[in-house]
Amino acid sequence: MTEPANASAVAHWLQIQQQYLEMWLSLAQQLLETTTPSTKPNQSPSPWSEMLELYWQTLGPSFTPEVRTIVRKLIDQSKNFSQFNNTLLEAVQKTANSDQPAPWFNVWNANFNDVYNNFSKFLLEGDNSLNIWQSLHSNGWRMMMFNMPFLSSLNSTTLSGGMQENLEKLLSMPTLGYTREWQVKWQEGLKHWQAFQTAQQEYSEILNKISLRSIELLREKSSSSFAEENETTPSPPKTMRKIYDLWVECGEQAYAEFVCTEEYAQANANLINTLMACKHYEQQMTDSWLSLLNMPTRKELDTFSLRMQQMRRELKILQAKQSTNEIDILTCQINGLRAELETLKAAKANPTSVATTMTTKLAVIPVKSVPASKSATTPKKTTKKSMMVLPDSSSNSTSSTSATSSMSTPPSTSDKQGE
Amino acid sequence: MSLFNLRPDQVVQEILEFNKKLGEGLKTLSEVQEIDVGSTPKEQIYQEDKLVLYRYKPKVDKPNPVPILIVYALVNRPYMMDLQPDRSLIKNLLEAGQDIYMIDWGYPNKVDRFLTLADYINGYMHRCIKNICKRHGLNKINLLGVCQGGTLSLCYSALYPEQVKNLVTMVTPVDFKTPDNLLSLWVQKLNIDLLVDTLGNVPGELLNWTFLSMKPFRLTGQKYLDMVDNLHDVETAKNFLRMEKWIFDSPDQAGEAFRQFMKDFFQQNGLIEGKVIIGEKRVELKNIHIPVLNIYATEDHLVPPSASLALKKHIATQDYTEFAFRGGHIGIYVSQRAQKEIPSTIGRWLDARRS
Repeated sequence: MTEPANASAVAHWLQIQQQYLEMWLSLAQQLLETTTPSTKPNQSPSPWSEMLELYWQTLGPSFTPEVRTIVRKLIDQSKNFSQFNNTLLEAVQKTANSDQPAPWFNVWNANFNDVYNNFSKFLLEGDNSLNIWQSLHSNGWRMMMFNMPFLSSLNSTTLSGGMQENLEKLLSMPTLGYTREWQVKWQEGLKHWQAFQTAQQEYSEILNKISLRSIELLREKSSSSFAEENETTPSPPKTMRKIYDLWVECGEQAYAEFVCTEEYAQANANLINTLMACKHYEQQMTDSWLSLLNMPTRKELDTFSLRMQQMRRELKILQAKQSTNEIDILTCQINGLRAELETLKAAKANPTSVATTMTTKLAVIPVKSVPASKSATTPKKTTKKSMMVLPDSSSNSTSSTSATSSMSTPPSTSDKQGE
Repeated sequence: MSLFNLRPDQVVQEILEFNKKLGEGLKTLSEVQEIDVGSTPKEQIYQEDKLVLYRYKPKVDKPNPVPILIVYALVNRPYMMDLQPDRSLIKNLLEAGQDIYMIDWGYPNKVDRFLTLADYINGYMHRCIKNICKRHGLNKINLLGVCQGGTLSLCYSALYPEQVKNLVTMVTPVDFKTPDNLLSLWVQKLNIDLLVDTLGNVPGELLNWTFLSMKPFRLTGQKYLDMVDNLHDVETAKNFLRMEKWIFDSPDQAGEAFRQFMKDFFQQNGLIEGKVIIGEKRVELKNIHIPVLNIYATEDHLVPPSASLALKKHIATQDYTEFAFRGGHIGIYVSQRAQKEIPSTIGRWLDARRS
């Protein structure tokens, strides 16, 4: 394909995108059942992304909260896909040459360096949304980086400028005078921040290596993975989506090669450890300020939470013990009542031998205070009492004394239940 | 000839079609009002702090007289076991004749920062099991531990062997230092004390980030483009959204419990080396003499099969069964094959050990 033809194709594509943007606006209008916005957006270098963003701004609030987050991700990834398509197509068109008769993969290999450079540059630039590392970090680290007022002003730009050169000197300067302790604290913070910046740089270098490796793999795989069944030579991918999927596959493979190494594990750990050190430092500084203001500090709240948890734990143990005691008591009571019941049944069957039997059986009951002699003297009355007391004692009794008392003075209403 | 055989007109056509699908998909999403999960009927039978113990309504007249308690991981939410009617291990286990209880650990907050593993195992779990035993007039019940919940269940079974009749572990890490365990490799050099001292409770979002980091290209990008092809109707969209809800519905982790799990289990591999102390007792896997069914997923990238299969050589039971599920860590809960294979396998195994 010649240069003018390329230019024409790209222009045509942008024109189509612009038309499509208008179609989307129309769709948005239908969904909202409102009038079309009065002003049309100006033509943009990436109208696909713009129209998706416009759609989000127009219709985003109409989704339920749970769905809204998904729609946002969907739109972001669609924008990334669009960006991927734009970049790859431009890269490919720059290197395309219709006069070459060689098979496509020879062309690809011959021109790979150009595509590689264009596409790699795009992937490695920090401010594009297809940069997988940036999007992952912007989500995952957002909460971890949050609230670092003391150190966050020392961003890498600042450090890489004038301050970076003198940082080592600054950190090795002796601290003096009335504010000595305060100076030590600041030096400590700067050391933490410097360590974090170094760890971040090392980590980024690994991620860049992964990105470059993914492009290499893309070249290798694109020349072998798309062989069509009826062809003896490999056939190139024919759709953007297939190329995207291939890129994802290559990315995952390259990533897997690196992240299972000790080098990556160390870099990853350094990144998190140094960030935590920074945050920990920030917390200490914040606590010292809060302390000056006589406000509750994090350390104090932690102590409070710790003690509360200890009390909760002790309370549970006590409750469990109490519950166990209650069960033991109730078991004893039930055993006693069973024995008494047996005795009374026997007494009813053979009244003459009741006194002797009662005394013998109750002697083995583990309940300390069952009044055997009293029961023995009034057998008929006791029968009613024991029958009634069973449900009552299981819910109320907390000691053998109370159990005994309820056994001896049952409420009259229970008599009928017992009967 | 052009590289990749791409022609601008074809590319434009492809993008137009993609955007058409995207537009239709977004319209479908706008019709989705609510994402419902956990449809199988259940009742709350016990509650303590943020923990809730549920009992699912049995589906057969005479279920297994020994109920099964599902102990899910502290990470993520247990409704994965009952995501929707046609993707519910719980529903299918009920239909397989089991009587099911499940612990929902809830969402720890700052007040729970100092909850330890002992609080979870000796406290919450033990009291739930006591409660179930009491309801059924039993001394012991069956346990089904899932993922990290399986590790907790192993600890419990080793500490309280008199309370557990049969133990089922699903995708459960036992050996935390197998060479193919990527998570473990990443954790080894982390300063866990500094992490917990700094963050307090460990944010669920941090765990999400870690899990996504294992396959970032696939999980943060490609998945959503695939989704565009599956948004043609509300029900299909809801299926996707339920999964998405579960993936990102990650409770924060109680700081002290997280500290102990990371250091004692991941960094020291203490479970198989007898170095884990829960409360005041050492966890000895050799104390496990009860029947054990160990279910693992052959394509599990979070808990590699080797991490689960190590169980066999560290427990003392004479009745040990393994079941290999052909799938991944998520597929074992929600795939169609899982619905057919997992509940029936568990049901048959438990039924054979009723006496």
